[in-house]
Amino acid sequence: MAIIHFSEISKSFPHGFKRQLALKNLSIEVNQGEVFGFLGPNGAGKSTSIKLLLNFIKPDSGNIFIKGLQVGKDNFQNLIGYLPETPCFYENLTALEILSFCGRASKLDKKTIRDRSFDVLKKLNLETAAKWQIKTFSKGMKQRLGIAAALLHDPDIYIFDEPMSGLDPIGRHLITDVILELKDNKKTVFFSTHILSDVERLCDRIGVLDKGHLLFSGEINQILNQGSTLEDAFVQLIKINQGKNNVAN
Amino acid sequence: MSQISLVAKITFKDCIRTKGLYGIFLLGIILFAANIIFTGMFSFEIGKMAVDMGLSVISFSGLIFIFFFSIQSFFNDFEKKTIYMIISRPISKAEYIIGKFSGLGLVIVFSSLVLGLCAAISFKLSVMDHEAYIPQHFTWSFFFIAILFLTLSLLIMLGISVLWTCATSHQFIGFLLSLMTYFIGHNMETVKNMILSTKIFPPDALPIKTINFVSWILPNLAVFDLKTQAAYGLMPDFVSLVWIALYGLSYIGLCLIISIWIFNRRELA
Amino acid sequence: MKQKSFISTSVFFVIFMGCFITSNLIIKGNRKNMGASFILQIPAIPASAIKLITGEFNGLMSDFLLLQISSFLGSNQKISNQEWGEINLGYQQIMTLDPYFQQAFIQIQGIMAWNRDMTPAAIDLLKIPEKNRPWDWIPGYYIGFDYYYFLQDFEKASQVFLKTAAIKKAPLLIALLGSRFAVQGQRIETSLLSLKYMVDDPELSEDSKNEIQDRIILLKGILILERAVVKYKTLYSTLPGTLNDLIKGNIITSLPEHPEFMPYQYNSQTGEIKY
Repeated sequence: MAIIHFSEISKSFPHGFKRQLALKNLSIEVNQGEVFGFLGPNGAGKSTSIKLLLNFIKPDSGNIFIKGLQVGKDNFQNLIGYLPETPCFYENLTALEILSFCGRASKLDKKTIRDRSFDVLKKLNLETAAKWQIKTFSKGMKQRLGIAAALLHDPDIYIFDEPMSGLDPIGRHLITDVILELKDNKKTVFFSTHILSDVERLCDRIGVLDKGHLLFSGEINQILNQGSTLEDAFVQLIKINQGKNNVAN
Repeated sequence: MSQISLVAKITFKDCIRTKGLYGIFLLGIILFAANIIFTGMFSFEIGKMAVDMGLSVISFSGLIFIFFFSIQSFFNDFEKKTIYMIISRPISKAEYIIGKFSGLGLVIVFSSLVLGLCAAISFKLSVMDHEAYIPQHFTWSFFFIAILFLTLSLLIMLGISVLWTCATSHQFIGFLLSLMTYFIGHNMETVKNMILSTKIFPPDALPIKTINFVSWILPNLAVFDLKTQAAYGLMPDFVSLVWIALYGLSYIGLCLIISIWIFNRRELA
Repeated sequence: MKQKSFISTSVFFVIFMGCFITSNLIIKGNRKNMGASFILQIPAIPASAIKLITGEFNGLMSDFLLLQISSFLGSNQKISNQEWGEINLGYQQIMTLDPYFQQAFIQIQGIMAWNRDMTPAAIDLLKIPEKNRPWDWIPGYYIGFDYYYFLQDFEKASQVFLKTAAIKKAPLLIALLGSRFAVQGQRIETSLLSLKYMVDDPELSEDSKNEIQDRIILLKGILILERAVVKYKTLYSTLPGTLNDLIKGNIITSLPEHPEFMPYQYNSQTGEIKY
């Protein structure tokens, strides 16, 4: 059974007096234990898909299921760890306080929170900043704290929205190691990105999105029929889709 | 309930560490010091002046906090997406709203306590050498009851601000609507009495009906204003106070519930 | 889950709504019995300092203060001396904030001046718009009227009237009043003249108009009696012992009507009539 299942999802947003289509009939399945990369150019609908997955917004049609639980009807938040595109926290709180909040919200006890907080902060090179206020954190530190918050309650499913965004090479290397470790632990990771080198290293399967349409969903070696490298294949897919759109217009 | 208290706790902690809040306390302390100086300029009504000033400072500080911090706190959550940190956890939107209100409300209660103590001290210092000018029926218990009801009216304003914040998409509109509600809430009773007393309109005229209708929608904040009564020790009976408190609490409850309904339908795109 | 959440919030909504409606009805009932603007809420700030508080919102604050006072006066409650003091302070604040405020000074004349104890305070307040509205004859007219009618200070009244008469478009009456008050002994006719003019003022309240009408009747009565006393003295070389002697002496057929149904006060030593 698919652990994450998008079923014919469509979503549009108001644009003046009209509505602009963000997603059309999106159907994706992510299996347990796999790392699924969600690719697409800017404005493809990747973040929209993730917001729908987390019930921040509601689809115009279709359903989304996480481990059999329907998003929008059943409670599923304890099953997932989420990293937003730009993690933001209350600026006057410390990293430990943020993690304490996240742990308590996920119904962990105090001892577990304390032990795990230090573990995740150490894993993400934030142990020295544990008692600093967030307003003193750099962008990269906030990104890593966001991942720490997602890891804290050790869920089975991780949803990361552009996890490498704004990180320096060392930070990116760190996040990559984290995702590989999750993969080894048979966790399911669903992440969106437009950095293809990360996808090649990390992903079991990928989905390619452009202008709200799913162009491809499957293993990486399948997409390589479109081009010699992932980048070529990706660009080729996008060009074909944009050509189709131009003809349709 | 524990989820609500979690959100309330982080909201309270975040607010209380805001340096801007210290500015409000500093303002309060300066005004209390000014209170002592001002009352020295008077030859009568020193007690009333000191109570008026002290309670007004609490009200003023609370309103500044609501209009400039609370509304901004909500909109910051939406714009900076801090809210994602909260509702990606097993915390419902309803729990978020109530928790956020509780956290901000705690800050208001805390500031009322601190400034209330400062008001009491400045009153005591102002009338120290002028015991004769303390109004005859003044009591400390009613002084603090007045502070309690003042705090309740601030919590009502907070509830209203939460409602307008959920209903609007722009911070400035939320601020304006809250400010408008405050002015109407405090003055609608006076305006209604003025219109009725001058007998310009018959009792069933449209302006009277409009004011009556508005009085059922917007809160009548004038009933919570016990500053003058506190200054003269003119305490209303206990039953009246209970009804006023019930009115305030039920109004806050309604504001929060309507805010939850609106917020449940709001998309966090 | 969603349905359960909606049901629970709906239940709470009904409970809160019930509490709100009940408490609001009771509070409205309680406050209705208290009447219109039960407590006068004039800030206890000296008029000279009020501008510090209001900043740029002078006009708004003066409007609000006038609203407060009007609402309190409209409740028709008996006003204590302390409350008159507060009203005086309120008007001082209003005139400081807006020295041109016409409705305020009309109200000062209509309400405050007619309280005999407050007439000097009313005159002080009216001097503010008199100074700041050099184009307007009304404040000066009010001041002059108050000096002669309430304070019996004809010299000051004459001065004020003659000064006000110089304003462009001031009615001729003011100049007449000014010149007449300069001459003693003709004050009752002068008073009648100005009162008849005032009663036609549309800004005056109904109560004030009624009082002026009563005053006119009184003054006419005094005038009749004064002239009768003079005639009696001319005929009988002595002042009448009582006012009834005027009837007995066939000077008048009956005593003039007193609007308050009280006897006219007569001083048989001086021949002076009072009411």
